[in-house]
Amino acid sequence: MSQAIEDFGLPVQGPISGQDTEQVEGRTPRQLFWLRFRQDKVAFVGLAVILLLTLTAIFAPVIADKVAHRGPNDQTLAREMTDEFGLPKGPNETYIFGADKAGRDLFVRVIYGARTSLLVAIVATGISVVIGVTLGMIAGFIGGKIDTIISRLIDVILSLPLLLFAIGIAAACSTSKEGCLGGRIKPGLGLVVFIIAAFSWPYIARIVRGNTLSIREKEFIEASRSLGARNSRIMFREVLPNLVAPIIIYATLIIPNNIIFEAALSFLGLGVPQKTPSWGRMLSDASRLLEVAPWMMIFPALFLVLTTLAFNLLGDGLRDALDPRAGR
Amino acid sequence: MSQIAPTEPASSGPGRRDGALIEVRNLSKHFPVTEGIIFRKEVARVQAVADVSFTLMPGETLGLVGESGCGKSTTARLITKLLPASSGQIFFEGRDITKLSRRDMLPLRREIQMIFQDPYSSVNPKQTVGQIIGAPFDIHKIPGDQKKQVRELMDRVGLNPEHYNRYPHEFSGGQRQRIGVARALALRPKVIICDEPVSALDVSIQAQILNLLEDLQDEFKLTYLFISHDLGVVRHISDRIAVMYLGHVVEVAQADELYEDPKHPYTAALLSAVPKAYSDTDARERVVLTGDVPSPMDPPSGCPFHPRCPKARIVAGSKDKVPDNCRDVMPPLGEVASNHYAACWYPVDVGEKLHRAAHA
Repeated sequence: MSQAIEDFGLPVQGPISGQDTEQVEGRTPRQLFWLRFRQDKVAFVGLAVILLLTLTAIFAPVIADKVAHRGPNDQTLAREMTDEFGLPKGPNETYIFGADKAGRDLFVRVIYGARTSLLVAIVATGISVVIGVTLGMIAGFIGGKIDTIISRLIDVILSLPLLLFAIGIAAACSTSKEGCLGGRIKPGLGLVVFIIAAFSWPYIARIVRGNTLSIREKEFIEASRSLGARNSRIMFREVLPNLVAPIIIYATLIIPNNIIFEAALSFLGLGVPQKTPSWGRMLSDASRLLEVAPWMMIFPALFLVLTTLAFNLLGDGLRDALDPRAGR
Repeated sequence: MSQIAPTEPASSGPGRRDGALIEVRNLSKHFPVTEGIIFRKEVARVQAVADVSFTLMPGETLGLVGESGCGKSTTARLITKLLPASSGQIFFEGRDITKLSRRDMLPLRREIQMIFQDPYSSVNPKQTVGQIIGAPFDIHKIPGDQKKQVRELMDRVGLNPEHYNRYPHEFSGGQRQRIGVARALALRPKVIICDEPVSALDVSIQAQILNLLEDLQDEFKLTYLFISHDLGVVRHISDRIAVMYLGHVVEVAQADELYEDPKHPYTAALLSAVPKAYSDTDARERVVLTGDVPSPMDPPSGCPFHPRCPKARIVAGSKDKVPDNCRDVMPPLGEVASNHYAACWYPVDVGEKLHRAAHA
């Protein structure tokens, strides 16, 4: 990725001489991107799946109400949906994904789980993009000692045993209602978002720093400087627009990582609070009943795989469309 | 380099003339070569520009020629203050601008503009032509209808003003260079530093851009510092020419005089290497220099050209020997003929053949 995203490699259509009177409609970079992206069927499927999932997540309460007629923690049918040994029953007409061991509707819990997963992953990714872009641009643009400090910080965080640290922080901050850091970090969804963001910004920062370093050496930066532009203008008007493509690509590619990260934390019982449906926690519950109730594992896992796959495919497609010159 | 610099070269050389628009006095730039990741220490220095003095008179075009890596572009960046000078002074209309801050320099930016070498790298691919050419108006907060001003500029440099909202990828190299010219012209500067503005272009496009630059010079009374390694281009556009070798200006003269009567052996060798379509001189008269340009990290003592100089060998009478003063003392840029300056202890005589020495 050290190669800068300079411009789009499509051949220019039609004659563009300074004197031509006949109007040839020019294409903006956005139009060119869309033209290329449209041809990528796989990425398009990814995008469709993500849109569908997002809609499902947003309208989860409506769907749960209209289709299943019950909420995620509804146990009114618990007696019917568990057998005499207290084991959950599999998919049937009422519970299309079957029931979990508390007799709750797995379908409703899975679509509510999409809410948790997408919310945590997207918010955490958003935060890490803001931190990563800011620090990466500062490091790459200013350089010198500041670059050394930020780059070493990135190295240190990337070298930490991620899950171990996450478990440590999550456990430490979840022991009491006070949370940690003087009550600034409360246990729950916010804590999960904080941990994920804290460990995923270095990926963005590294990419942004590398790209900034190569853009900084371009002559148009010198041109701007020779016009007397201040650093803030150069960073926001000249450098940042050239970083948009890599930022979008890498943000899309770390979202699935963050979804899995949230699932892993929830699987270990350190993620979102008890009653919040989460794919990770559902998998954890299912692991103890895998042989008698495989549907408890299959459906959340299927959604998890589908979501991460869709984001990865979309990310790859975006990369191909935004940065056609980057080799695979 | 400076420890053996002649006393006050600025007073004798071409570095002082009244009414100069830009005057460069003893300008030097070295880049440190560092080692170590956390604790950086300087292990060597690259002497990119060494003790350079020249003037730029209003309305003239001064050509700056030399091989790749001789410090031409660094000199341009020092004058436009894209790089800080290590030592020496730069005067603009008699005012020392060497140490000016960005804020103090801002009004002067309107007077000194730059055209860059690579038309593909010198325009931001994410901005429209209108934004690129409009940037000078934004930065200097110039009132008025910016779109109209930009369209006029586009028209003036031969771009279709209708293409205001297009992106650089829709333009050819020559047209992109016109965008660069329009941007440099936007603030109506007095001086434009052209850093190899046509080197990256096709020969046919080169001519178009050169003609454009000449037309603009007449129309707006511009002064050019024209940097190039193409001797034909430089001769075509320049009034005076300065030749650089290894960070030093070794010769300055009127364009035609320099081409017809080079005084510095390096200039003579450089000119003899220009391919000619119809040549009355024998190919064997070409002065072929031996060896490579010395590393600017470890420049030779005395005259920077002495390890390769054919004239020094003629004077010493042996191909292995050079005169002591060539080896030990940097020759000052002295006036060898009227308004013709050369930094050489033994300037080339009119019609003197150097190729024999080179082949000896």
